[in-house]
Amino acid sequence: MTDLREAVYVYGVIARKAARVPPVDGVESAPVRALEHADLTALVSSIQRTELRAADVRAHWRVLEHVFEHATILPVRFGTVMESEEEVRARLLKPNEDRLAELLETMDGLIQLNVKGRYDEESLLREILREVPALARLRERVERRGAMSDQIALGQHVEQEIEQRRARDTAVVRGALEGLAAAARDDQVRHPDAFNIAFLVPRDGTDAFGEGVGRVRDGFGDRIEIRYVGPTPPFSFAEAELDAGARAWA
Amino acid sequence: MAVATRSGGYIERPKPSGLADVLEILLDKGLVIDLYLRVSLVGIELLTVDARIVVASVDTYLRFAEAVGRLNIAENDQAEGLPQLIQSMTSGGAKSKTQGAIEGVKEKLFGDDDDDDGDDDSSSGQRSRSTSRASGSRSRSSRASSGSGSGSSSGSRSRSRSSGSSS
Repeated sequence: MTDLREAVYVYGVIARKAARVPPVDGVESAPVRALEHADLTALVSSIQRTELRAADVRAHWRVLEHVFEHATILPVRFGTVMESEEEVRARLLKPNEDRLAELLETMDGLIQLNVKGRYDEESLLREILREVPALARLRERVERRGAMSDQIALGQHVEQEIEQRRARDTAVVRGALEGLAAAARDDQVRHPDAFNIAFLVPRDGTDAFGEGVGRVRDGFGDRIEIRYVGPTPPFSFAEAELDAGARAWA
Repeated sequence: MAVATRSGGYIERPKPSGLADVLEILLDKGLVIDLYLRVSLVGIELLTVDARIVVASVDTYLRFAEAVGRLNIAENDQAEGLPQLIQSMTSGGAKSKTQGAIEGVKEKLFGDDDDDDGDDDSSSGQRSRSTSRASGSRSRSSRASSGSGSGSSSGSRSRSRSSGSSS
């Protein structure tokens, strides 16, 4: 059994030279504190429980949002708890010193904005049937005979068509907006999403980007509903799997 | 929100990201410290993992087949009235299982008071805000590499023709 008395919940890493972040409370309403090593500062708070609740998700987000107003932060994935402050230094900061510093450097002054698109399923399916006659025929056959194998084939084919449209529509959005952003990355989508693209944009470059989003929205018209969300810390660009040095605990 | 510009275009302002918007990112992204304990988050973690598995299963194919089958294309497009459309959209048929799972998580997280954005139809009356969680099990940082799918490399030009069903 591991001793959790000194356990800390980890929110993220900022540059040591970053502006001072005013006090904020984290999970279990514990005050967030700074742990420093070299050029890095990890933000942590003490934690007693080993089981997180919905309120903790809110607290995690509240802290990130708060810090993000003042400094560039590399968020650590929700639910990361380390045995002690010493562990945070020895296993998070020290072994990844260069990598984290470099990431922070890269992200400096940048924010993440997501452009999400969603199909209306019914219109999408109609579009597919209209554009792919073979599918319309297969559909009729399913209607006549109702064989399971035909149904699966039909569904599979429909999914491929959806996949193709996603790829095309994603390319359109990237083509329109990549030039206005420092980087772009496809975030996870699930039907009926058309795309969910994360863009890294300079804090002061959001006007030009927003204009681009407006053009994208107009371009898609009713076909795809656009949602433009942000800013957030650069979650999608801080996905690195870090080296924890030796084994932590089993 | 949109602001007009001199060039005749307009500038979109992003919707401030409430927790509802970033929930998936929050649970799924960020730095992962290899091997490190991620505190057991029984309800939520299971649901998100579950949501991933459902995708690309036969289930999905059948669902698409069914959805396509429901489309009433014998009569031509304009014959389908608005009421019909609304009905088929609200009958739940258009909603995937995975979405259901995510909605479930949202429900758990937000209950009734939070900054949600209208599109969650919290239906079930059960609202577990308190300690309804099994304890003990502890999961280590499992990182189901979230395949972000779309390659988007194809050079094919696509026009974004609006294809509303009626006009």
